[in-house]
Amino acid sequence: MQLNGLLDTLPLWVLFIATLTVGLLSFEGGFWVGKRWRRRTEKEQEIVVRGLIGGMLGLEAFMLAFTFGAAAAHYDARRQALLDEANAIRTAFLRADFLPEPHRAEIRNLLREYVDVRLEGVQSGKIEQGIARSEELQNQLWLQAAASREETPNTAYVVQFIQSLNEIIALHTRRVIAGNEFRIPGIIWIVLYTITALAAASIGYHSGLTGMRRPLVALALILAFSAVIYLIADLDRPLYGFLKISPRALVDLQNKMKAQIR
Amino acid sequence: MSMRLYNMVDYIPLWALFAITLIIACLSFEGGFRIGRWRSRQKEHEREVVVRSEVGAMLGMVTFILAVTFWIASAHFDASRQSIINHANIIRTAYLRADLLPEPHRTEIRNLLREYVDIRLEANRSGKLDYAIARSEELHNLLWAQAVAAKDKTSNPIFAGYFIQSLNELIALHTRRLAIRAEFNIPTAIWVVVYVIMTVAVFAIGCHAGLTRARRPLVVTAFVLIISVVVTLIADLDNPRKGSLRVSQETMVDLRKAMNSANH
Repeated sequence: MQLNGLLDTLPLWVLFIATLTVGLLSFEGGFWVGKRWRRRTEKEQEIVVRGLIGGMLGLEAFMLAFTFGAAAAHYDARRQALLDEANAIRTAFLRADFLPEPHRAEIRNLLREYVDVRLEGVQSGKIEQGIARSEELQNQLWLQAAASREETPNTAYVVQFIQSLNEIIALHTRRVIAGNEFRIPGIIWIVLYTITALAAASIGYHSGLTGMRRPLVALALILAFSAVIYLIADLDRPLYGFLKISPRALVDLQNKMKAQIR
Repeated sequence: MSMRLYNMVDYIPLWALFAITLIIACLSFEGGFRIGRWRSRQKEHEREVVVRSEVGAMLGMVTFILAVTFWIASAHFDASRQSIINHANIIRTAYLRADLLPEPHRTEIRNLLREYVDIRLEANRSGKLDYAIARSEELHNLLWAQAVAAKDKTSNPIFAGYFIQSLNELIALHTRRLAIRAEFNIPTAIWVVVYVIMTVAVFAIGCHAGLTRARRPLVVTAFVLIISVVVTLIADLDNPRKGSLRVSQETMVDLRKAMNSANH
Protein backbone atom coordinates (compact mmCIF):
# COMPACT_ATOMS: atom_id res chain seq x y z
CA MET A 1 0.00 0.00 0.00
CA GLN A 2 2.90 2.39 0.60
CA LEU A 3 4.02 1.78 -2.94
CA ASN A 4 0.66 2.99 -4.15
CA GLY A 5 1.12 6.21 -2.19
CA LEU A 6 4.54 6.63 -3.75
CA LEU A 7 3.18 6.04 -7.25
CA ASP A 8 0.40 8.54 -6.64
CA THR A 9 2.86 11.33 -5.95
CA LEU A 10 4.28 10.94 -9.46
CA PRO A 11 2.42 12.86 -12.15
CA LEU A 12 1.19 10.60 -14.91
CA TRP A 13 3.55 11.95 -17.56
CA VAL A 14 6.51 11.25 -15.28
CA LEU A 15 5.22 7.72 -14.86
CA PHE A 16 5.01 7.35 -18.62
CA ILE A 17 8.56 8.55 -19.13
CA ALA A 18 9.78 6.36 -16.28
CA THR A 19 8.14 3.30 -17.86
CA LEU A 20 9.59 4.17 -21.23
CA THR A 21 13.03 4.61 -19.66
CA VAL A 22 12.83 1.29 -17.84
CA GLY A 23 11.80 -0.42 -21.10
CA LEU A 24 14.50 1.22 -23.21
CA LEU A 25 17.26 0.67 -20.67
CA SER A 26 16.34 -2.99 -20.31
CA PHE A 27 16.32 -3.33 -24.07
CA GLU A 28 19.70 -1.64 -24.32
CA GLY A 29 21.15 -3.86 -21.60
CA GLY A 30 19.84 -6.99 -23.30
CA PHE A 31 21.18 -5.75 -26.65
CA TRP A 32 24.63 -5.21 -25.21
CA VAL A 33 24.74 -8.67 -23.63
CA GLY A 34 23.42 -10.26 -26.83
CA LYS A 35 26.14 -8.60 -28.91
CA ARG A 36 28.88 -9.79 -26.62
CA TRP A 37 27.51 -13.30 -26.58
CA ARG A 38 27.07 -13.44 -30.36
CA ARG A 39 30.53 -14.85 -31.01
CA ARG A 40 30.00 -17.59 -28.47
CA THR A 41 26.57 -18.67 -29.64
CA GLU A 42 25.57 -20.78 -32.56
CA LYS A 43 23.00 -19.78 -35.09
CA GLU A 44 20.61 -22.52 -33.93
CA GLN A 45 20.20 -20.93 -30.56
CA GLU A 46 18.47 -17.98 -32.10
CA ILE A 47 15.49 -20.20 -32.98
CA VAL A 48 14.98 -21.22 -29.35
CA VAL A 49 15.29 -17.62 -28.18
CA ARG A 50 12.68 -16.53 -30.70
CA GLY A 51 10.11 -19.00 -29.36
CA LEU A 52 10.75 -18.04 -25.76
CA ILE A 53 10.32 -14.35 -26.50
CA GLY A 54 6.99 -15.08 -28.15
CA GLY A 55 5.84 -16.75 -24.95
CA MET A 56 7.06 -13.92 -22.72
CA LEU A 57 5.43 -11.23 -24.82
CA GLY A 58 2.19 -13.19 -24.82
CA LEU A 59 2.19 -13.43 -21.03
CA GLU A 60 3.03 -9.75 -20.69
CA ALA A 61 0.20 -8.80 -23.03
CA PHE A 62 -2.26 -10.91 -21.06
CA MET A 63 -1.18 -9.49 -17.72
CA LEU A 64 -1.49 -5.95 -19.01
CA ALA A 65 -4.88 -6.68 -20.52
CA PHE A 66 -6.27 -8.20 -17.33
CA THR A 67 -4.88 -5.46 -15.11
CA PHE A 68 -6.41 -2.97 -17.51
CA GLY A 69 -9.72 -4.84 -17.15
CA ALA A 70 -9.54 -4.62 -13.35
CA ALA A 71 -8.70 -0.91 -13.42
CA ALA A 72 -11.57 -0.24 -15.82
CA ALA A 73 -13.97 -2.17 -13.58
CA HIS A 74 -12.88 -0.09 -10.57
CA TYR A 75 -13.35 3.08 -12.57
CA ASP A 76 -16.86 1.97 -13.47
CA ALA A 77 -17.62 1.13 -9.85
CA ARG A 78 -16.61 4.64 -8.81
CA ARG A 79 -18.71 6.25 -11.51
CA GLN A 80 -21.69 4.06 -10.69
CA ALA A 81 -21.42 4.83 -6.97
CA LEU A 82 -21.50 8.55 -7.71
CA LEU A 83 -24.60 8.19 -9.89
CA ASP A 84 -26.32 6.04 -7.29
CA GLU A 85 -25.48 8.54 -4.61
CA ALA A 86 -26.99 11.43 -6.57
CA ASN A 87 -30.14 9.38 -7.07
CA ALA A 88 -30.39 8.38 -3.43
CA ILE A 89 -29.99 11.98 -2.26
CA ARG A 90 -32.64 13.13 -4.69
CA THR A 91 -35.03 10.43 -3.50
CA ALA A 92 -34.48 11.38 0.12
CA PHE A 93 -34.97 15.04 -0.76
CA LEU A 94 -38.32 14.25 -2.37
CA ARG A 95 -39.46 11.93 0.38
CA ALA A 96 -38.76 14.60 2.97
CA ASP A 97 -42.02 16.08 1.66
CA PHE A 98 -43.88 13.43 3.62
CA LEU A 99 -42.42 14.53 6.93
CA PRO A 100 -43.94 17.18 9.20
CA GLU A 101 -42.44 20.62 9.65
CA PRO A 102 -40.00 21.76 10.98
CA HIS A 103 -38.16 18.53 10.19
CA ARG A 104 -38.91 18.79 6.51
CA ALA A 105 -37.16 22.13 6.08
CA GLU A 106 -34.34 21.10 8.36
CA ILE A 107 -33.71 17.87 6.47
CA ARG A 108 -33.72 19.67 3.15
CA ASN A 109 -31.15 22.15 4.36
CA LEU A 110 -28.99 19.34 5.63
CA LEU A 111 -29.27 17.51 2.31
CA ARG A 112 -28.32 20.67 0.41
CA GLU A 113 -25.29 21.10 2.58
CA TYR A 114 -24.50 17.40 2.11
CA VAL A 115 -24.33 17.79 -1.66
CA ASP A 116 -22.23 20.95 -1.31
CA VAL A 117 -19.79 19.14 0.95
CA ARG A 118 -19.51 16.19 -1.44
CA LEU A 119 -18.79 18.40 -4.41
CA GLU A 120 -16.41 20.60 -2.48
CA GLY A 121 -14.47 17.54 -1.33
CA VAL A 122 -14.02 16.22 -4.85
CA GLN A 123 -13.19 19.58 -6.40
CA SER A 124 -10.76 20.90 -3.80
CA GLY A 125 -9.15 17.55 -3.08
CA LYS A 126 -9.69 17.94 0.67
CA ILE A 127 -11.22 14.50 0.89
CA GLU A 128 -10.64 13.86 4.59
CA GLN A 129 -12.51 16.97 5.71
CA GLY A 130 -15.34 16.23 3.32
CA ILE A 131 -15.73 12.73 4.69
CA ALA A 132 -15.74 13.90 8.31
CA ARG A 133 -18.32 16.61 7.62
CA SER A 134 -20.45 14.18 5.61
CA GLU A 135 -20.62 11.80 8.51
CA GLU A 136 -21.66 14.57 10.89
CA LEU A 137 -24.42 15.52 8.50
CA GLN A 138 -25.56 11.90 8.28
CA ASN A 139 -25.92 11.77 12.05
CA GLN A 140 -27.93 14.99 12.08
CA LEU A 141 -30.18 13.69 9.32
CA TRP A 142 -30.76 10.54 11.26
CA LEU A 143 -31.65 12.48 14.41
CA GLN A 144 -34.15 14.53 12.42
CA ALA A 145 -35.73 11.40 11.00
CA ALA A 146 -35.93 9.74 14.40
CA ALA A 147 -37.50 12.88 15.90
CA SER A 148 -40.11 13.21 13.17
CA ARG A 149 -41.08 9.61 13.74
CA GLU A 150 -42.63 10.60 17.10
CA GLU A 151 -44.61 13.42 15.60
CA THR A 152 -46.12 12.04 12.46
CA PRO A 153 -49.36 10.06 12.53
CA ASN A 154 -48.40 7.92 9.57
CA THR A 155 -45.22 5.99 10.18
CA ALA A 156 -45.16 4.38 6.73
CA TYR A 157 -43.93 7.68 5.31
CA VAL A 158 -41.18 8.00 7.86
CA VAL A 159 -40.06 4.48 7.02
CA GLN A 160 -39.80 5.46 3.39
CA PHE A 161 -37.62 8.38 4.23
CA ILE A 162 -35.46 6.33 6.59
CA GLN A 163 -34.93 3.78 3.87
CA SER A 164 -33.48 6.33 1.51
CA LEU A 165 -31.38 7.79 4.31
CA ASN A 166 -29.90 4.34 4.99
CA GLU A 167 -29.09 4.11 1.33
CA ILE A 168 -27.30 7.45 1.36
CA ILE A 169 -25.18 6.29 4.28
CA ALA A 170 -24.37 2.96 2.61
CA LEU A 171 -23.42 4.71 -0.61
CA HIS A 172 -21.15 7.03 1.30
CA THR A 173 -19.19 4.02 2.57
CA ARG A 174 -19.14 2.57 -0.91
CA ARG A 175 -17.74 5.76 -2.42
CA VAL A 176 -15.09 6.15 0.25
CA ILE A 177 -13.97 2.57 -0.25
CA ALA A 178 -14.15 2.78 -4.03
CA GLY A 179 -11.89 5.83 -3.90
CA ASN A 180 -9.40 4.57 -1.33
CA GLU A 181 -9.22 0.87 -1.86
CA PHE A 182 -10.41 -0.11 -5.30
CA ARG A 183 -6.89 0.35 -6.54
CA ILE A 184 -4.40 -1.81 -8.35
CA PRO A 185 -2.35 -3.26 -5.48
CA GLY A 186 1.33 -2.33 -5.25
CA ILE A 187 2.51 -5.90 -5.79
CA ILE A 188 0.78 -6.04 -9.18
CA TRP A 189 2.65 -2.91 -10.23
CA ILE A 190 5.90 -4.56 -9.17
CA VAL A 191 5.07 -7.66 -11.19
CA LEU A 192 4.06 -5.64 -14.25
CA TYR A 193 7.31 -3.69 -14.21
CA THR A 194 9.38 -6.82 -13.60
CA ILE A 195 7.79 -8.58 -16.56
CA THR A 196 8.11 -5.53 -18.80
CA ALA A 197 11.78 -5.10 -17.94
CA LEU A 198 12.56 -8.80 -18.46
CA ALA A 199 10.64 -8.97 -21.74
CA ALA A 200 12.29 -5.80 -23.07
CA ALA A 201 15.71 -7.12 -22.07
CA SER A 202 14.99 -10.38 -23.88
CA ILE A 203 13.98 -8.59 -27.06
CA GLY A 204 17.18 -6.58 -26.83
CA TYR A 205 19.22 -9.74 -26.31
CA HIS A 206 17.58 -11.32 -29.32
CA SER A 207 18.37 -8.29 -31.50
CA GLY A 208 21.93 -8.32 -30.20
CA LEU A 209 22.33 -12.00 -31.10
CA THR A 210 21.30 -11.41 -34.70
CA GLY A 211 24.04 -8.82 -34.98
CA MET A 212 21.88 -6.31 -36.79
CA ARG A 213 21.07 -2.74 -35.80
CA ARG A 214 18.42 -2.00 -33.20
CA PRO A 215 15.04 -2.60 -34.80
CA LEU A 216 12.63 0.31 -34.90
CA VAL A 217 9.74 -2.03 -34.12
CA ALA A 218 11.20 -2.68 -30.68
CA LEU A 219 10.82 1.01 -29.89
CA ALA A 220 7.19 0.85 -31.04
CA LEU A 221 6.56 -2.18 -28.84
CA ILE A 222 8.05 -0.53 -25.76
CA LEU A 223 6.04 2.62 -26.49
CA ALA A 224 2.87 0.54 -26.71
CA PHE A 225 3.56 -1.16 -23.37
CA SER A 226 4.28 2.20 -21.73
CA ALA A 227 1.07 3.64 -23.15
CA VAL A 228 -1.03 0.79 -21.76
CA ILE A 229 0.63 1.11 -18.35
CA TYR A 230 -0.04 4.84 -18.46
CA LEU A 231 -3.70 4.19 -19.22
CA ILE A 232 -3.98 1.67 -16.38
CA ALA A 233 -2.50 4.20 -13.93
CA ASP A 234 -4.86 6.88 -15.20
CA LEU A 235 -7.93 4.69 -14.79
CA ASP A 236 -6.69 3.67 -11.39
CA ARG A 237 -6.40 7.18 -9.94
CA PRO A 238 -9.70 8.50 -8.69
CA LEU A 239 -8.92 12.20 -8.71
CA TYR A 240 -6.28 12.87 -11.32
CA GLY A 241 -5.56 12.46 -14.99
CA PHE A 242 -7.69 12.54 -18.09
CA LEU A 243 -10.01 9.88 -16.83
CA LYS A 244 -11.31 11.75 -13.83
CA ILE A 245 -14.87 10.92 -12.91
CA SER A 246 -17.11 13.83 -13.68
CA PRO A 247 -19.31 14.94 -10.78
CA ARG A 248 -21.95 16.10 -13.28
CA ALA A 249 -24.75 14.14 -11.62
CA LEU A 250 -24.09 15.86 -8.29
CA VAL A 251 -23.83 19.29 -9.88
CA ASP A 252 -27.19 18.82 -11.59
CA LEU A 253 -28.67 17.69 -8.31
CA GLN A 254 -27.25 20.73 -6.54
CA ASN A 255 -28.92 23.04 -9.05
CA LYS A 256 -32.24 21.26 -8.79
CA MET A 257 -32.19 21.44 -5.02
CA LYS A 258 -31.35 25.13 -5.07
CA ALA A 259 -34.21 25.85 -7.46
CA GLN A 260 -36.60 24.17 -5.08
CA ILE A 261 -36.11 26.49 -2.10
CA ARG A 262 -39.48 27.24 -0.66
CA MET B 1 -10.31 -33.76 3.81
CA SER B 2 -11.26 -31.93 0.67
CA MET B 3 -11.24 -28.68 2.62
CA ARG B 4 -7.66 -29.39 3.55
CA LEU B 5 -6.65 -30.16 0.00
CA TYR B 6 -8.27 -26.97 -1.19
CA ASN B 7 -5.80 -24.79 0.56
CA MET B 8 -2.64 -26.77 0.03
CA VAL B 9 -0.84 -23.87 -1.58
CA ASP B 10 -1.98 -21.63 1.28
CA TYR B 11 0.29 -23.38 3.74
CA ILE B 12 3.50 -22.59 1.89
CA PRO B 13 4.96 -19.11 2.49
CA LEU B 14 5.05 -17.01 -0.65
CA TRP B 15 8.82 -16.69 -0.87
CA ALA B 16 9.10 -20.49 -0.61
CA LEU B 17 6.50 -20.88 -3.33
CA PHE B 18 8.53 -18.58 -5.53
CA ALA B 19 11.72 -20.54 -4.87
CA ILE B 20 10.03 -23.91 -5.41
CA THR B 21 8.49 -22.79 -8.70
CA LEU B 22 11.82 -21.44 -9.88
CA ILE B 23 13.59 -24.68 -8.96
CA ILE B 24 10.96 -26.88 -10.63
CA ALA B 25 11.18 -24.81 -13.81
CA CYS B 26 15.00 -24.82 -13.86
CA LEU B 27 15.16 -28.57 -13.26
CA SER B 28 12.66 -29.36 -15.98
CA PHE B 29 14.55 -27.18 -18.42
CA GLU B 30 17.83 -28.85 -17.56
CA GLY B 31 16.27 -32.32 -17.82
CA GLY B 32 14.74 -31.52 -21.19
CA PHE B 33 18.00 -30.00 -22.40
CA ARG B 34 20.03 -33.11 -21.56
CA ILE B 35 17.51 -35.47 -23.11
CA GLY B 36 17.35 -33.30 -26.24
CA ARG B 37 21.13 -33.37 -26.57
CA TRP B 38 21.26 -37.10 -26.09
CA ARG B 39 18.57 -37.62 -28.74
CA SER B 40 20.38 -35.36 -31.19
CA ARG B 41 23.43 -37.62 -31.07
CA GLN B 42 21.46 -40.68 -32.12
CA LYS B 43 21.20 -41.63 -35.77
CA GLU B 44 17.48 -41.06 -36.14
CA HIS B 45 16.14 -38.15 -34.18
CA GLU B 46 13.33 -35.65 -34.34
CA ARG B 47 13.45 -32.85 -36.88
CA GLU B 48 14.00 -29.56 -35.09
CA VAL B 49 11.39 -27.81 -37.26
CA VAL B 50 8.63 -30.14 -36.05
CA VAL B 51 9.55 -29.70 -32.42
CA ARG B 52 9.61 -25.94 -32.87
CA SER B 53 5.89 -25.61 -33.60
CA GLU B 54 4.98 -28.00 -30.81
CA VAL B 55 6.96 -25.96 -28.34
CA GLY B 56 5.26 -22.82 -29.61
CA ALA B 57 1.85 -24.31 -28.94
CA MET B 58 2.85 -25.35 -25.45
CA LEU B 59 4.18 -21.90 -24.68
CA GLY B 60 0.84 -20.49 -25.75
CA MET B 61 -0.92 -22.87 -23.42
CA VAL B 62 1.23 -21.95 -20.40
CA THR B 63 0.64 -18.28 -21.08
CA PHE B 64 -3.06 -18.76 -21.38
CA ILE B 65 -3.45 -20.94 -18.29
CA LEU B 66 -1.43 -18.52 -16.16
CA ALA B 67 -3.38 -15.54 -17.45
CA VAL B 68 -6.77 -17.11 -16.79
CA THR B 69 -5.74 -18.26 -13.32
CA PHE B 70 -4.51 -14.74 -12.60
CA TRP B 71 -7.91 -13.45 -13.67
CA ILE B 72 -9.76 -15.90 -11.39
CA ALA B 73 -7.54 -14.97 -8.46
CA SER B 74 -7.98 -11.24 -8.92
CA ALA B 75 -11.75 -11.63 -9.27
CA HIS B 76 -11.68 -13.56 -6.00
CA PHE B 77 -9.71 -10.78 -4.35
CA ASP B 78 -12.24 -8.22 -5.53
CA ALA B 79 -15.14 -10.36 -4.34
CA SER B 80 -13.79 -10.55 -0.80
CA ARG B 81 -13.17 -6.82 -0.81
CA GLN B 82 -16.73 -6.23 -1.98
CA SER B 83 -18.26 -8.53 0.60
CA ILE B 84 -16.53 -6.69 3.47
CA ILE B 85 -18.07 -3.43 2.29
CA ASN B 86 -21.52 -4.96 2.00
CA HIS B 87 -21.20 -6.51 5.41
CA ALA B 88 -20.10 -3.29 7.09
CA ASN B 89 -22.92 -1.42 5.39
CA ILE B 90 -25.62 -3.78 6.50
CA ILE B 91 -24.32 -3.83 10.08
CA ARG B 92 -24.41 -0.04 10.12
CA THR B 93 -27.93 -0.02 8.73
CA ALA B 94 -29.12 -2.49 11.37
CA TYR B 95 -27.39 -0.45 14.07
CA LEU B 96 -29.16 2.72 12.97
CA ARG B 97 -32.51 1.01 12.62
CA ALA B 98 -32.26 -0.33 16.15
CA ASP B 99 -33.16 3.27 17.05
CA LEU B 100 -36.67 2.47 15.96
CA LEU B 101 -37.09 -0.25 18.59
CA PRO B 102 -38.16 0.25 22.22
CA GLU B 103 -35.82 -0.03 25.18
CA PRO B 104 -34.29 -2.25 26.58
CA HIS B 105 -34.03 -4.07 23.25
CA ARG B 106 -32.44 -1.11 21.52
CA THR B 107 -29.45 -1.02 23.86
CA GLU B 108 -29.20 -4.78 23.95
CA ILE B 109 -29.17 -5.06 20.17
CA ARG B 110 -26.57 -2.33 19.86
CA ASN B 111 -24.30 -4.10 22.33
CA LEU B 112 -24.67 -7.33 20.40
CA LEU B 113 -23.85 -5.58 17.12
CA ARG B 114 -20.76 -4.01 18.66
CA GLU B 115 -19.59 -7.40 19.83
CA TYR B 116 -20.30 -8.73 16.35
CA VAL B 117 -17.93 -6.22 14.76
CA ASP B 118 -15.32 -6.76 17.49
CA ILE B 119 -15.29 -10.48 16.87
CA ARG B 120 -14.73 -10.01 13.19
CA LEU B 121 -11.89 -7.59 13.69
CA GLU B 122 -10.34 -9.80 16.36
CA ALA B 123 -10.54 -12.89 14.13
CA ASN B 124 -8.78 -10.99 11.41
CA ARG B 125 -5.95 -10.09 13.77
CA SER B 126 -5.54 -13.47 15.43
CA GLY B 127 -6.61 -15.74 12.58
CA LYS B 128 -8.92 -17.78 14.84
CA LEU B 129 -11.68 -17.96 12.30
CA ASP B 130 -13.52 -21.02 13.55
CA TYR B 131 -14.27 -19.46 16.90
CA ALA B 132 -15.37 -16.22 15.24
CA ILE B 133 -17.76 -18.04 12.94
CA ALA B 134 -19.32 -20.01 15.80
CA ARG B 135 -19.71 -16.92 17.97
CA SER B 136 -21.10 -14.89 15.06
CA GLU B 137 -23.80 -17.45 14.57
CA GLU B 138 -24.66 -17.38 18.27
CA LEU B 139 -24.93 -13.62 18.02
CA HIS B 140 -27.30 -13.96 15.06
CA ASN B 141 -29.58 -16.03 17.27
CA LEU B 142 -29.39 -13.58 20.16
CA LEU B 143 -30.13 -10.67 17.84
CA TRP B 144 -33.05 -12.51 16.37
CA ALA B 145 -34.47 -13.25 19.84
CA GLN B 146 -34.20 -9.56 20.72
CA ALA B 147 -35.96 -8.54 17.53
CA VAL B 148 -38.82 -10.96 18.16
CA ALA B 149 -39.19 -9.74 21.73
CA ALA B 150 -39.18 -6.12 20.59
CA LYS B 151 -41.84 -6.84 18.00
CA ASP B 152 -44.37 -7.71 20.70
CA LYS B 153 -43.66 -4.63 22.74
CA THR B 154 -43.58 -1.94 20.14
CA SER B 155 -46.67 0.05 19.29
CA ASN B 156 -45.66 0.13 15.68
CA PRO B 157 -44.79 -3.21 14.10
CA ILE B 158 -43.62 -1.56 10.88
CA PHE B 159 -40.48 -0.38 12.63
CA ALA B 160 -39.74 -3.81 14.05
CA GLY B 161 -40.27 -5.34 10.63
CA TYR B 162 -37.89 -2.83 9.27
CA PHE B 163 -35.17 -3.81 11.67
CA ILE B 164 -35.82 -7.49 11.03
CA GLN B 165 -35.29 -6.92 7.33
CA SER B 166 -31.77 -5.65 7.89
CA LEU B 167 -31.06 -8.45 10.35
CA ASN B 168 -32.06 -11.05 7.74
CA GLU B 169 -29.78 -9.42 5.24
CA LEU B 170 -26.94 -9.43 7.73
CA ILE B 171 -27.31 -13.17 8.28
CA ALA B 172 -27.51 -13.83 4.55
CA LEU B 173 -24.30 -11.89 3.96
CA HIS B 174 -22.52 -13.86 6.64
CA THR B 175 -23.35 -17.05 4.75
CA ARG B 176 -22.18 -15.49 1.53
CA ARG B 177 -18.86 -14.52 3.02
CA LEU B 178 -18.31 -18.02 4.31
CA ALA B 179 -18.94 -19.29 0.79
CA ILE B 180 -16.43 -16.86 -0.67
CA ARG B 181 -13.87 -17.92 1.89
CA ALA B 182 -14.32 -21.62 1.35
CA GLU B 183 -15.05 -22.04 -2.31
CA PHE B 184 -13.70 -19.23 -4.35
CA ASN B 185 -10.11 -20.20 -3.64
CA ILE B 186 -8.31 -21.62 -6.61
CA PRO B 187 -8.79 -25.36 -6.07
CA THR B 188 -5.81 -27.66 -5.81
CA ALA B 189 -6.88 -29.29 -9.09
CA ILE B 190 -6.21 -26.04 -10.94
CA TRP B 191 -2.88 -25.59 -9.19
CA VAL B 192 -1.91 -29.12 -10.23
CA VAL B 193 -2.81 -28.34 -13.84
CA VAL B 194 -0.84 -25.09 -13.73
CA TYR B 195 2.25 -26.83 -12.43
CA VAL B 196 1.97 -29.84 -14.75
CA ILE B 197 1.59 -27.69 -17.84
CA MET B 198 4.37 -25.39 -16.75
CA THR B 199 6.74 -28.30 -16.08
CA VAL B 200 5.94 -30.05 -19.35
CA ALA B 201 6.27 -26.87 -21.39
CA VAL B 202 9.59 -25.87 -19.86
CA PHE B 203 10.78 -29.44 -20.34
CA ALA B 204 9.81 -29.20 -24.02
CA ILE B 205 11.69 -25.92 -24.39
CA GLY B 206 14.73 -27.63 -22.90
CA CYS B 207 14.37 -30.54 -25.34
CA HIS B 208 14.14 -28.15 -28.25
CA ALA B 209 17.21 -26.23 -27.11
CA GLY B 210 19.08 -29.52 -26.69
CA LEU B 211 18.11 -30.75 -30.15
CA THR B 212 19.63 -27.67 -31.80
CA ARG B 213 22.95 -28.69 -30.22
CA ALA B 214 23.48 -25.09 -29.23
CA ARG B 215 24.38 -23.83 -25.78
CA ARG B 216 21.73 -23.08 -23.12
CA PRO B 217 20.18 -19.76 -24.11
CA LEU B 218 20.40 -16.96 -21.55
CA VAL B 219 16.80 -15.90 -22.18
CA VAL B 220 15.54 -19.02 -20.44
CA THR B 221 16.45 -17.35 -17.15
CA ALA B 222 14.14 -14.43 -17.93
CA PHE B 223 11.36 -16.75 -18.99
CA VAL B 224 11.58 -18.94 -15.91
CA LEU B 225 11.69 -15.85 -13.67
CA ILE B 226 8.59 -14.36 -15.29
CA ILE B 227 6.63 -17.57 -14.84
CA SER B 228 7.63 -17.87 -11.18
CA VAL B 229 6.74 -14.25 -10.48
CA VAL B 230 3.30 -14.67 -12.01
CA VAL B 231 2.61 -17.91 -10.13
CA THR B 232 3.58 -16.23 -6.85
CA LEU B 233 1.35 -13.27 -7.61
CA ILE B 234 -1.59 -15.59 -8.27
CA ALA B 235 -1.07 -17.36 -4.93
CA ASP B 236 -0.82 -13.98 -3.20
CA LEU B 237 -4.07 -12.71 -4.75
CA ASP B 238 -5.87 -15.93 -4.08
CA ASN B 239 -5.47 -15.76 -0.33
CA PRO B 240 -6.83 -12.42 0.88
CA ARG B 241 -5.65 -12.96 4.41
CA LYS B 242 -2.01 -13.68 3.70
CA GLY B 243 0.98 -12.21 1.91
CA SER B 244 1.32 -8.66 0.72
CA LEU B 245 -2.21 -8.53 -0.63
CA ARG B 246 -4.61 -8.37 2.26
CA VAL B 247 -8.14 -7.22 2.06
CA SER B 248 -8.22 -4.05 4.10
CA GLN B 249 -10.41 -4.05 7.21
CA GLU B 250 -10.62 -0.26 7.20
CA THR B 251 -14.37 -0.27 6.60
CA MET B 252 -14.99 -2.41 9.67
CA VAL B 253 -12.64 -0.31 11.81
CA ASP B 254 -14.43 2.85 10.71
CA LEU B 255 -17.76 1.26 11.47
CA ARG B 256 -16.62 0.35 14.98
CA LYS B 257 -15.52 3.95 15.58
CA ALA B 258 -18.83 5.26 14.31
CA MET B 259 -20.65 2.90 16.68
CA ASN B 260 -18.70 4.26 19.63
CA SER B 261 -19.39 7.87 18.78
CA ALA B 262 -23.09 7.20 18.27
CA ASN B 263 -23.35 5.78 21.74
CA HIS B 264 -26.42 7.61 22.92
